[in-house]
Amino acid sequence: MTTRRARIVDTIVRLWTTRESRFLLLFFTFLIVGFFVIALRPVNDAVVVPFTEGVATVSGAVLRLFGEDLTVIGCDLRSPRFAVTIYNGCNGLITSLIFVSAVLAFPTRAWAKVVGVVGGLLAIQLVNLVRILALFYTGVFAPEWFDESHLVIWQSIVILCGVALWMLWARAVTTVDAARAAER
Amino acid sequence: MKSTQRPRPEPRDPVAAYLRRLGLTLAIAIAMWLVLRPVLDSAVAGGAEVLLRAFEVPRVTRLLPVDHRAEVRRADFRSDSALPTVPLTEIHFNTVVLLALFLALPRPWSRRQLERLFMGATVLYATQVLNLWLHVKWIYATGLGEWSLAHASDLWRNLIGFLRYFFDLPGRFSFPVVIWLALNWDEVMKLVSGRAPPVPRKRGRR
Repeated sequence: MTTRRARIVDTIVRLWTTRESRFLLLFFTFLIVGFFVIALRPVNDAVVVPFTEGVATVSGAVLRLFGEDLTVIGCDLRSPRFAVTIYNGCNGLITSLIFVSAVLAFPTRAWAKVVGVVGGLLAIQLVNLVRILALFYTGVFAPEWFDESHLVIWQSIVILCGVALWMLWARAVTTVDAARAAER
Repeated sequence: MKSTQRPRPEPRDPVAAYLRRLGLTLAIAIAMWLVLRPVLDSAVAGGAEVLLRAFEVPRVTRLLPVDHRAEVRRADFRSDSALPTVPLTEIHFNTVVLLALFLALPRPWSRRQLERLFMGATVLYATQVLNLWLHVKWIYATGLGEWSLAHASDLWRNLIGFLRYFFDLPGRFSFPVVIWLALNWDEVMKLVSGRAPPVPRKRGRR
């Protein structure tokens, strides 16, 4: 029994001391805890829904700049040409959560993580805004392509943008760390 | 035959080179997914059906892929009752992300990378099967009126609901990324640390 327990402890220690397994353990912990928090009804009502309405308001304002006769009601964007509803999975929050989990799990200094989180969140929202505009115009000009474009193309692009941002951030962080180590 | 191929110079920024390739491999991955889509529909529906029936007494569930949706058929449904369906595209579209990420890595067609891709695709397939299983269990727990109330406890409904929601949003989005990273940690760390992987020498050359 003691040997078995020692073997389990040894496995956990080995997982924790291996860089990639520690990253994955931390990543999933941040992801699950973060998702659990935003999935709670009070958090959803107080944060997620107003945030999604904010995304809809900004998207509507940009579309009006492009000359669209648009009305924003809650999370709905309605125009005489097309109407879309921004749901929970379409507000960029999940990609942001994945990105933030990856940044927090990466072994580096705290300030670099803060910069990564803030910059990444802004960049992901920008990409998501482009996605909403592109989907709106897909709905206007090629409605038969809307579902495929929404489900396959833009979801993939947004996830890959999150990965690209994380790689660029990790690259910048490791370059700075290497330069500092060389100075010492 | 004497090779005149010069060793390729290392790119200045391997991450930038990777991201440039990623744009191209996304298009290739979408094309591959479109070709594989009917196979994926059947494979995911078939896998989830096996999983469902493995724990079912009596075994009554059949999942039939029809028009990129899985029709949930039970032997004990009335013949005139409406059939619940689950969209399959949403469940296996993340294959595109996995393919794009793998194919953009250096030497994607090498044996090692193909083995890793095969392993990654297998793990991702398992998550897709589990996702569809959760959808069907969710229908059974909440969508069949009094039958659901009689057969599923509040705890089970909440557990299945949370897991389905987790698999539908962060799970579906993050699984391909995590699988790619876990299987290619060495390659990805070489990229982000600015060291491009060395170009392999051709076999047979001394």
